[in-house]
Amino acid sequence: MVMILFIVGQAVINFNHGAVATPLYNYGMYSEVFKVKPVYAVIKVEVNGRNLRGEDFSIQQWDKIYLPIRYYLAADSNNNQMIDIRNRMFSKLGLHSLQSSNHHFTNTIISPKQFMDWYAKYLDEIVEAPVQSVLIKQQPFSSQKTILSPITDTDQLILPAWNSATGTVVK
Amino acid sequence: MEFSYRHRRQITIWLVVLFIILLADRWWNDMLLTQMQPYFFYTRMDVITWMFMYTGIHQWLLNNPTACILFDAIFALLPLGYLLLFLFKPQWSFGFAWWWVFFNFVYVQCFTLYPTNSIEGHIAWLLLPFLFTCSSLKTFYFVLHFMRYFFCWFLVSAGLWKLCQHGAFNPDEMSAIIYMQHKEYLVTSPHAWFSNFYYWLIKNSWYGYAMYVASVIIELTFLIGFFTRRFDRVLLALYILFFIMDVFVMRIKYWELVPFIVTMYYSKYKIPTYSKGSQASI
Repeated sequence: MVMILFIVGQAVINFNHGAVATPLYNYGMYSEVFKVKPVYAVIKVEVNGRNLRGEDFSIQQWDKIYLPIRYYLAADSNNNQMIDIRNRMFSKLGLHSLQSSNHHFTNTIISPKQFMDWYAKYLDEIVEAPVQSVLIKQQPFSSQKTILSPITDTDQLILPAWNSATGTVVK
Repeated sequence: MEFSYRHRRQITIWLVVLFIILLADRWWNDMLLTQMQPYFFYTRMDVITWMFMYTGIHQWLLNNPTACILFDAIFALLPLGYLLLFLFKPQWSFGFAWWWVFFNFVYVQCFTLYPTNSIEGHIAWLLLPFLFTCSSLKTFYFVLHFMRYFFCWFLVSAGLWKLCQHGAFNPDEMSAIIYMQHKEYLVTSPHAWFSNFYYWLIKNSWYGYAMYVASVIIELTFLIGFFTRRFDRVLLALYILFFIMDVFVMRIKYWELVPFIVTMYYSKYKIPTYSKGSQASI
């Protein structure tokens, strides 16, 4: 019986392209049509004056370096969007009391300065050296040549610079 | 040959050992909660996760090293505890397995709400401990085969998605995925072996596309697993190839799904005709 429910649930989740329900997921990663874009915005992490290089880190370490930045930049809008979707669903199901309780669904406000303080400490473990400065920059790259080539000579800080000497974030 | 208690014992030991190896791999790669130091969470579109989030456990772990150590310790000790009980006090092991199932659910829910971790990759941790809750040999056999079908479905559905969403018909698919997934790697290490290989695939986009189509074919081949178990060893070899290519081409590690291969390795045995005296016979 449990197995039949699992199979039916899995089928429903796959036909419905929306929300999933643990342990029923859809496994559609890398399935939609992607086109090569002419320009890619590339994030670079500079530690102690040098850009971190992919070849110096394992697969997991590289993910650990980059994903917190992307998730931090998107977390608030993503979590708020989830609250909206959740509330619409609960409203349809008549679960109005659950709708109003949102404090478990949002992070406490983390300022860019707080994030950088945490991230610098977090990087310490990954780069296995004392982190004295961290810059997180973004630069546009063109895919039109044989290798990705910078469109502009300068990159732009997307989060405040962090420096251990001053102990504060310098904007 | 009939499925027997000997096979069950072997499967149990194999699975627990694989889980312990996966834990060691996590520790080696600084992927335990204690090492990740979670600072914020990122909600996903999962109805069960939303219900779980009302407990607030995922927030309690943030900036809480002691709680993270406690969670990691329980997560690491449960497979070991189960194995010891199974070997020396099997009658207690089935009840203990429910605790394992429950705690894995809580741990995986929290762990995958923090950056870098996807819940889909943790499906083995969520599902396979259910096997150990079965006290009767027949139930164990049926659940094992259910897990095998699930594993086949996991791969077949990934292939079907690529057909339905038309990724499989897009010659630029692989090049676009490489740029999207590895642009930072390409820019920061332009002369590394991986970068040269990626640029070669992008330049010769038909080879990249052929690899993508080959992966779709491998995934869809698991459809055979729904009709016969005769080719399970071939499917296993294909999965290992798929898994290695994922690491070397996509730089994605699917280690955490490896325990499912046990379900295919032991699928050839026939349904047991007896199942009483489970504890004594283990």
